[in-house]
Amino acid sequence: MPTATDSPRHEHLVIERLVFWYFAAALGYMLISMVAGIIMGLQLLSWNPLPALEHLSPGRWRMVHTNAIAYGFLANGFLGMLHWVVPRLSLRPVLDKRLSYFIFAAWQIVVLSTAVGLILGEAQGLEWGETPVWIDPLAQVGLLLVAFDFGYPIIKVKGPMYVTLWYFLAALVWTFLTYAMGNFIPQYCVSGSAAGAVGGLFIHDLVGLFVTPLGWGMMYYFVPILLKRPMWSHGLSLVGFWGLAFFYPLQGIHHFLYTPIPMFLQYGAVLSTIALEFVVLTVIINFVGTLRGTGMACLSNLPLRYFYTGITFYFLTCLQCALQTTMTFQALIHFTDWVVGHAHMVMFGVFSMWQLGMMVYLVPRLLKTEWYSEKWCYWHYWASAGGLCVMAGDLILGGLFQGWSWAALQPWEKSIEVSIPFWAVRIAAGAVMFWAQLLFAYNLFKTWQKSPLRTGEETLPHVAPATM
Amino acid sequence: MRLRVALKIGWLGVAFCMGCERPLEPEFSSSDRAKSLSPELRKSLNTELEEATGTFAHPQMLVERSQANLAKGQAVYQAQCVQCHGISGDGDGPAADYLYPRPRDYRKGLFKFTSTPYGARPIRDDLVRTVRAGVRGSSMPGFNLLPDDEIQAVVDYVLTLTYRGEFEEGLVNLAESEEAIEPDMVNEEVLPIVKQRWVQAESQQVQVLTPQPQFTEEHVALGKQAFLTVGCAKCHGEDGRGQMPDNIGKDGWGRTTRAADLTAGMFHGGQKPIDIYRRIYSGINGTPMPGFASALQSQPDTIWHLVAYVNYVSSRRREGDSPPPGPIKPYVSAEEKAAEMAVAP
Amino acid sequence: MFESKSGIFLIAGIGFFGLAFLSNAVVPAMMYRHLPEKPVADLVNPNVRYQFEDLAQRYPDEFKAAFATEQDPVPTDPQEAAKWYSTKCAEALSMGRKIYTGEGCWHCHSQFVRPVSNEDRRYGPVSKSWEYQNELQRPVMFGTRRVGPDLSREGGRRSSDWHAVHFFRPKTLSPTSPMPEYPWLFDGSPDKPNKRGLALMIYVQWLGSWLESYPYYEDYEPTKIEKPIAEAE
Repeated sequence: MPTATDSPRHEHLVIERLVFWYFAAALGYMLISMVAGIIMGLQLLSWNPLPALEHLSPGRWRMVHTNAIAYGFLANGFLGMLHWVVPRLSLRPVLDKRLSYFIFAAWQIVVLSTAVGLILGEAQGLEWGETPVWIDPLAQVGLLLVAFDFGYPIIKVKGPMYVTLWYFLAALVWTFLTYAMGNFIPQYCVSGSAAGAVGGLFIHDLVGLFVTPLGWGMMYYFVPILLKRPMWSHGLSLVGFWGLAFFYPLQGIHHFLYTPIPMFLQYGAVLSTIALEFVVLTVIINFVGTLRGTGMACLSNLPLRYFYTGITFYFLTCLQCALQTTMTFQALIHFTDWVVGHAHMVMFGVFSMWQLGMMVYLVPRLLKTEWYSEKWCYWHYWASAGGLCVMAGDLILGGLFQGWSWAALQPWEKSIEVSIPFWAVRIAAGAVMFWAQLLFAYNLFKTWQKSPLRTGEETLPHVAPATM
Repeated sequence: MRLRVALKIGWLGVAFCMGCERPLEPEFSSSDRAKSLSPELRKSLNTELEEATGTFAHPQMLVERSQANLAKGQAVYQAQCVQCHGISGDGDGPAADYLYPRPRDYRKGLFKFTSTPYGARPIRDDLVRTVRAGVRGSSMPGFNLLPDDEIQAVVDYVLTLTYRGEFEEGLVNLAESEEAIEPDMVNEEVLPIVKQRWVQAESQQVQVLTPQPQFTEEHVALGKQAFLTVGCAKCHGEDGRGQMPDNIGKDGWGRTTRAADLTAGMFHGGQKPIDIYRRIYSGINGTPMPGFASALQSQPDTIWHLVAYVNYVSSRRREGDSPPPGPIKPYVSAEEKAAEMAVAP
Repeated sequence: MFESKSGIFLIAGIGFFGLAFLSNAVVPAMMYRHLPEKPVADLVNPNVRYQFEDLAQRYPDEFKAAFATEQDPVPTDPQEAAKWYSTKCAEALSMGRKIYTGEGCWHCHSQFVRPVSNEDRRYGPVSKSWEYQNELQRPVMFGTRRVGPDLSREGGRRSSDWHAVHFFRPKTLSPTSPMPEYPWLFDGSPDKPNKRGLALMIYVQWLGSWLESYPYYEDYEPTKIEKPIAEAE
């Protein structure tokens, strides 16, 4: 172990400027994604103000919505987070700082050209992999560079690694492999039901092997720091990691139950989904255990509040997962808004909340100044979490009504009719969430404006960089 | 403060949008012929018409049916049918100009796919069948998922519109010949004729002359022979595709029409042997397709042979056999389309 | 092993991923070895050829502008003409699929009929594996959400002019439909589809055209003819 004297200093490890750039870019894409979501939501209610414009077509913007969240918001946020966490944990800077800047620029080009490609109608027919085929190789190279850039300091760690680094190391490998599998195999190698199975695996792995391990790695890093105590149980951390690594990728096909994909594979996917629920439970217990005795910290500490809200939603979504992948349940809720509600709960309720919480925590440290308005941060929290609760609950309920309408062989219009109130509530909830992110972005802008980095003033003494 | 202003603007916006979207109360329109009458005649025509068939707000069935629920029928019609068939059932809804064949104009009382003889009105079940199954190969979809009460109600409403159209036409005829519309004449001459045609049809359903045989290749071969000799091939062509230069005609609504492509695998009037039998036996109302009832009176089995052959031809595509395209000519020629567009308001 | 870099890298990172890939992707791919993937040219069946020729008669000028250009007119020889229509139809299908993907149609319309929830009564026969073994299913278009109905048996249910009016402005035909409008598939009016519009129409008409029951599934009963007769008399 390095001693205190030869321990590298934070300034040499973390490229703070880049972390902040990543966060700013992430928020930008979050807003784009939400605009897209609102366009689609208005369309469902037939309130689309600009209905007949090719480049504002809700069908195309629907793909911008999901892609901007996955590759714009989450990926950028995670890359920023990796730039902070990995060097601080491994006590080594990333492979090459110039490479890091290059990756930043290249990734923005990838995401922007994906959005432009989608708006021009160039999508690839793979859910969450709609990235036009001519961008895929570039994105693949980008992911390889990312793996090298962050993999290097992790590989160089001597002795045992902290839990976070297990997750990150695996995530770097998985993300690269998942992207390659999903974007190339169904397009060029296999077709039909087998391609459907790969597509399901891709959708699933994108959440399970890219977003989830990075998210949990982040939690294992920030939660103990904020609580100033170690994780409750190292054993449970181990169980959580290995259980997730084993069971998560096996479930891809549960997105396409009752398709022509062989039935025994569908059953396998359902079983591993239910098995994963037990693994998730161990992780949740570990985090709740870490909180033991200091539960009030969740109320007094804002970032922690985001984190534990996300953890709660994670528990709920996984519980929901285990139930909704059963064949009985699928018969009713597949193809309905239930699934959409579930997806929002995962992507926004869990991972976006974690990232936003992480930003709430890191931005003052990056900009060397307090938030422009802490009150606005609280508003942001409540509007985001509250809006999401309403939206997810509303869509889940609406999904049941749709499923029942279809099963009852009602004419199709009836299922639309029954959905309208749910869609109206959804757009209202979505508007609240959108407003919250706008407020957050404005808050970030104002904070940046008064940052001593920009004004050139001395660093405020009372905001020291975070310690480990 | 700012919030309050924003709210106000929002409310104004909502009020504005609602003002824009409030639909006008629909009304039945008059036929072109009725519109060309003198104002006085038109007025008395409309009085008679309203008295017998009601208004859009309060429609009445000319030939009454005890179970009819016209309010429900109208609601279904306005939701599902009006886009093509129009408020008055004139086949001139907003989508009609872009469809071929054009949506049916009910007002003449002519329906193509009936189980009654050529020229007769359909029976009620024929309309129910068409609503349920749709007209395959045309833009009329099947509404088989509508609940039965809604289908029955909408058929009653369609009949209401049909009666109204027929009655209106009768009144116009009267007005043109007598230069006046007197209630006595209406009650004696116009009303009974309209009613009678529908009542008569109920007992006129075409029954097969001989029972349907189990089709064999022999039947198909005989059918093919008949197809070439009886006169089918004259319009439908020897291969059944109807790609003949002179396969073009006018239908009862004054529109271009042509003999169907029998190889399509889609029969407008239904694909069951009995459906095809009735098409051959009775022809298709309002089109140049004649009934072969009298021509084949002496050889009733031949109709079944033709059914067998037509069925055979229409299932060739399913078996992977693509007939040659032929000359492929437009359904509606450019000149005709231009002429139609010029007529349209 | 559980906390070492090589354990995480090799076992969790590559090993478990590979295991999942093996069981979730390689196994089904192997199971469908006997179903070779059909190229687009083989997907032009007589049913969809009818629909394509129907477009040529319905929209003569538009069809000519899109497919029968001056450099590549319809041949006069019947055999050649048949071949020409098949080739052009294949081209239109590929293009139609691209538009279907690009416009995001597949995010609101699934393409598989499940054996549950009365779907075989609503849509038609339950989907089978062989139906998806073709080039136009790259990647496969199962779909995950139905805002609109399933389309895997939509072909032939409605004529192309219905689709034209519906693409142009869905509310014209279905007043409560939340489907967006696609006027850019037309030159200003629903009776003037451009090449993209024609291609999308033929793609939709193709869906389900490989089934024997096309397009009759609701009440289709094959009329039995004992032994089909030989081609010539």
